[in-house]
Amino acid sequence: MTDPDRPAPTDGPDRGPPHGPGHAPAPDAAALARAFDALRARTAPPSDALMARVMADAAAARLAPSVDLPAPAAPPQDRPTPAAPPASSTPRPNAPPRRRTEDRARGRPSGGPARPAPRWRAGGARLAPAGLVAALAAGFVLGMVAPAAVLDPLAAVQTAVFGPPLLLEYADAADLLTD
Amino acid sequence: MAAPPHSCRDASDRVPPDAAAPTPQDPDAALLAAYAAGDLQAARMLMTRHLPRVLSFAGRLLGDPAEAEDIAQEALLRLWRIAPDWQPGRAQVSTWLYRVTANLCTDRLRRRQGARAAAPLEAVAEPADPAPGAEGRLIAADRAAALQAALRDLPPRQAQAVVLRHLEGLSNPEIAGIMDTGVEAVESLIARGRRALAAALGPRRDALGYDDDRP
Repeated sequence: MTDPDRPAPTDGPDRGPPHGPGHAPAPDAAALARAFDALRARTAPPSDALMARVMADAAAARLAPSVDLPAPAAPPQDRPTPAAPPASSTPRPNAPPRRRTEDRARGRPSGGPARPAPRWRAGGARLAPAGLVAALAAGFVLGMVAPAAVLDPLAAVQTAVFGPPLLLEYADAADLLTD
Repeated sequence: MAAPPHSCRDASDRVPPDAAAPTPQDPDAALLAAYAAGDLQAARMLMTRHLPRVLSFAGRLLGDPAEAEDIAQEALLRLWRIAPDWQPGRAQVSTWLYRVTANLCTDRLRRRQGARAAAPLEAVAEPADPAPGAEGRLIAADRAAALQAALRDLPPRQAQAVVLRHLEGLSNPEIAGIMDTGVEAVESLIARGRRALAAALGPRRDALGYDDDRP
């Protein structure tokens, strides 16, 4: 809640921040201007040594303007000729612009919803899932059913229920039932 | 001849010769063209015109006369090197030099930051007095030293704007061209810098004799 008797704080460009108790008041604009005057009046001129260095730089730069990055007259002889860039990095003359460039030209980010969905490009590839499922099913059947079951399904059922056929043909049934 | 310092080439290398607002007439452009054609006397005239400004600007931003001389020499050296590529009418030489100097000083301050902790006020090099001996100038010397120390503690952009406005006497549009920003941003930088300077000098108000100046 603001005190109506308290003056509103001012924070203009030329006013110092409001100061609390225990802090010295900030100098006003006139005092700051006097500080600027004092600092401005104490500007030392360039020394003779500095001017001599600057003129020496000017003479050197005039005589050798390309001293920074001298252009070699000939390529270095001790280095092999740089190989040509890989063909993949060299764009073909009539190559269409890349998709990212197209997207940028259309004003939409690449990878956005306007990108076409991927699809199978080869027709035979559509049969690949069906062939895979068929192969898995065949392997499952052949692995789980013995070859004998394929040739004689009834014998396979009997073996599973009653045991091996030799035991039934030659063993004495009474021996099997008693100790 | 001392080797030119090449230690600060980061930000100032981005300054193109047409970095400031186009100006139809620049007397320095003709001198620069004459120097590029081989006239060393033109370079001397350019140095006489601009070296004091560049030196004082760098000195006020850095607070170190020796570093300021290095920066001034480097700024002029870049002017000599760019002379053959200078495009008359697209920039003022003075504006370009101020901008290169500001960038060089910014690089120097960044490098200095962290290398040494904030020095006390007594460690700041006192600005040279061209007319020593006057007893009444002791207060002025203290005020100048205090303001120099306060400028050193300002953020670099605020310090550049304040120095260019209140010590170099440039207009806000000129400062905007040098600092590559808008006039409103320059006004804001100057206002914030002045507030920070006033707050920094406030505790020393009595010692600096500001109360004695009041009528």
